[in-house]
Amino acid sequence: MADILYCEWIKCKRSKMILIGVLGSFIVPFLVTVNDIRISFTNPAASLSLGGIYEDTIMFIMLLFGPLVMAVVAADLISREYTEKTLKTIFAVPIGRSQFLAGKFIILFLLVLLFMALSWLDIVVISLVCSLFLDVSQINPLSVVWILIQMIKGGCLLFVTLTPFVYLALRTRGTLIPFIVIAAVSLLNVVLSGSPIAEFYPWTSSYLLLTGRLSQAAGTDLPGKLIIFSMGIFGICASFFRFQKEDLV
Amino acid sequence: MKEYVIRTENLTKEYGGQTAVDRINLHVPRGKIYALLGRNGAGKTTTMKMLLNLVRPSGGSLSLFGEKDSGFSKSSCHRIGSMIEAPAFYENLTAGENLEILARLRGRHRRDTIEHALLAVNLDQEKKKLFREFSLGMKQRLGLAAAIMHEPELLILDEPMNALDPVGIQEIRKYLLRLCREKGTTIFISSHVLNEIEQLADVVGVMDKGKLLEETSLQELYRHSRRYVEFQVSDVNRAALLLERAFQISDYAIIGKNLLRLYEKIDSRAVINSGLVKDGVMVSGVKVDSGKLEDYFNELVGGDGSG
Repeated sequence: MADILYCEWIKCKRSKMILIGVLGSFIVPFLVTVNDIRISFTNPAASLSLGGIYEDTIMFIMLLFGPLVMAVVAADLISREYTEKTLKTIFAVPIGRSQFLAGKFIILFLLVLLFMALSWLDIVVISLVCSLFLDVSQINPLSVVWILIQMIKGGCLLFVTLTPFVYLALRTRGTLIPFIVIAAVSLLNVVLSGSPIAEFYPWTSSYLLLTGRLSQAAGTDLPGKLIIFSMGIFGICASFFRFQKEDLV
Repeated sequence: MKEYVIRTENLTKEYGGQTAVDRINLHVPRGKIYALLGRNGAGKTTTMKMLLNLVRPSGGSLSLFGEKDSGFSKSSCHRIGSMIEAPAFYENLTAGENLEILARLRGRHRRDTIEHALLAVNLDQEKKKLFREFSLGMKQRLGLAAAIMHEPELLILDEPMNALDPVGIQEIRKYLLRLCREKGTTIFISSHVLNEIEQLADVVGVMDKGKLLEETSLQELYRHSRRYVEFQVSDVNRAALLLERAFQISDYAIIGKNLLRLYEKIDSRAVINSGLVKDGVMVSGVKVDSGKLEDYFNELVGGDGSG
């Protein structure tokens, strides 16, 4: 498995999709901070804080930008093997289909974590830079570590809700359909935001779970957790089942 | 008794009711070059994909290295090198990185194997070049390097000469012959370019519409594809009569309205020509054909010999 992961890592070299993911991880904290600064100028009561920048960032990452960027990365990890027709080269080596797909899931998980870690780094760096010129509260090691833990947790939840897009990429052998679907999913995230149904919609409920607001409407967070878990299990099982029986024509 | 590296029994592949490969029985002897000939769509690539477990057979069985259904075992696959259709590698990686991926996945990674493989196909200077910057011929050679990198006992090559220039074709042909003769590598190669195969193969299998029409040695094939002299004449019936009466020739065939093909007394064609003219038969052309594999192939598949 170590060799498979190493090979997956090599494959990411010079990949434009990965570059987009990395650059994307910097965009949200930057835009959120710009907006917070603007608000603090217009409304002196609204002060700038590390916690505030984190809260706005995690909302946009979990509901909109993260799923959008990472679903495309996930689809690209799979679809490029079809478009570049490399599967026939790889499987003639041979390696097991399950091993290969497991490698894809693991590398996707690592890339999601990397995306979240880079976003965290961006939040911290931007807050520190802003604190040189403006008054930014809550900048302390404890907050920084807590935000990192939250970002990692968010990454795990994001990964679980991304697994159906691996299946979709396997089925369609391209990035277009997964992109259209994730665009619709992200749009629904925005539409459902604040609605009681949001707790039962996996992509929103994972954000609510992360921010500790999952049980607000239903009184218990169990249905939401079950939905997220089922989504992950479905994505992984359907992908493995599909890939096992497929002919590499 | 001959030892077969590849043996199939009624191997079949169907795609949605359409038969791509129809109950073929292949026998690829150890240490020989076996050429699978056939036009495009004959089922050659599907057959090769089944041997490599890239496509699951709909019926029949196959054995590799004497192990039944070993197409699905990892140990026998390690003994095989392959190149199916156009070589496929990661566009964003260099030649060296692409080969490193395959070497690592194979689990027998030695840095010098990559260098040796690239040297064998004259790509040692291009190791750091990105695959997307390769020409078609270079991609083909890199595919071959990937196939031979781990010194396999069996090479399965699907139209490996495609996109190569004449010099490249000659180099690869020489290399494959050397690999087979010196190292005893069994080579299972497919092609629709007949003269490539004539200079390479020991055994030939002819496929058409999913069926294996013939499986024989090259010598045997040459025996089938006989030499002849072809006369283009004004009156084939009169010419045929003359051939039988004046020259005692019975082994001939009337091909068309004006064409007559003689399979005997080919060296006496000048005398026959003059005899025909003397008898009032106009001869507008005389052609000697060395009896190429191509003609026999055309006869078998009923085509024009091209894929």
